[in-house]
Amino acid sequence: MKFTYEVVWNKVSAELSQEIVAFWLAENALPGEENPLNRSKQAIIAMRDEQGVLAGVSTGIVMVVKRLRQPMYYYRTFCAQRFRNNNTSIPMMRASQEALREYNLGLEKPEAIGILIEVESELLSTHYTEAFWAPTSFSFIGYSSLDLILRAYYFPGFVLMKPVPLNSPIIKTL
Amino acid sequence: MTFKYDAVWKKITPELTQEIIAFWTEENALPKSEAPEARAQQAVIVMRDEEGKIAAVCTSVIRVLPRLRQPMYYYRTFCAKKHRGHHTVQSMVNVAKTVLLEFNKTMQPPEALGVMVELENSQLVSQYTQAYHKASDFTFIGYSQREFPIFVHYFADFNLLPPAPLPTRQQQQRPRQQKIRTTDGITG
Repeated sequence: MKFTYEVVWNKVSAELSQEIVAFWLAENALPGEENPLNRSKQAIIAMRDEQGVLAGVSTGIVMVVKRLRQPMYYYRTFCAQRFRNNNTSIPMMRASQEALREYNLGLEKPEAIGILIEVESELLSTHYTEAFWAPTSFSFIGYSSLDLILRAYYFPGFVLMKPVPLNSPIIKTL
Repeated sequence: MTFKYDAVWKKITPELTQEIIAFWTEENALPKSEAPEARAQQAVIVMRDEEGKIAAVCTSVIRVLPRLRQPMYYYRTFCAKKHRGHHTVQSMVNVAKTVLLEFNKTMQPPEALGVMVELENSQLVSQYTQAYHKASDFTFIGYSQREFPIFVHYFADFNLLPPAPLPTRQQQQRPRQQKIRTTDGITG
């Protein structure tokens, strides 16, 4: 099955927002405390099947985690149950990496220097066990407090910013 | 100037130990807390000048940082003052990476997954500002308690080992369902 990966980063219309929310609700994709409308504004890539039906959505939000003290996009993705096992996670990730890199290249000062993932899927964490994940250039940076694998990818050529102080209110702990 | 990079990892003779210690002593390279004899056994590469004199030595020792919970080689290097400014840092680390990779390829499981550096030298910090260093394949993973940036390089295709247990005080977990980050995690 073929999929298209549509860049929607910072271009989420009210209609697309509704479509994404409906998709997540139909798939029971979000935990109760997550506001679907807000989350839909973080969409990076909308993956669609051959009929144009939404099959997966990736999202990103800028986050400064304690262990890095640098702004990164916290990346999450969800693929509809029936479209799983089609090897879409890597193309989805690559499309998201490229979209976010391009976006930041256009900014005077980048809002993030890379992407951070917390691998929640047991399938992914048992499948992709390399410390350096070559297909997407993500490196292992440790475990979250949920004991999930954390990986980081930095946009090529992006420089470290002044580290955010540890006592800053924007610092999050994963 | 041309330098030669001798792989000495696990091949340190008593004579080489003495030569390395003499080099460090002359250059006042080691802090007093460091035992030169023990440190010399950690030598990976000895860099020599055209006269065969030691110009630099890099060492590595296995460390499991709480933030990674995986064994890594903690890499350190010292170059004689008179040989600095020849851009040998990258060549040295690249040779060391290859030597350590080859050594670990023969082991099951490997004793380390890669190489870790803490950039103590302010000149290097100002030179190596990118979060990912393509030329040496090192990736930023955060800051040490001394506020120095830490970078890692993983040996190609090496798999994560079962994570080392955390010290008890760091075994705090956020609730799995709740996405709001309220608990402290790994900081080391």
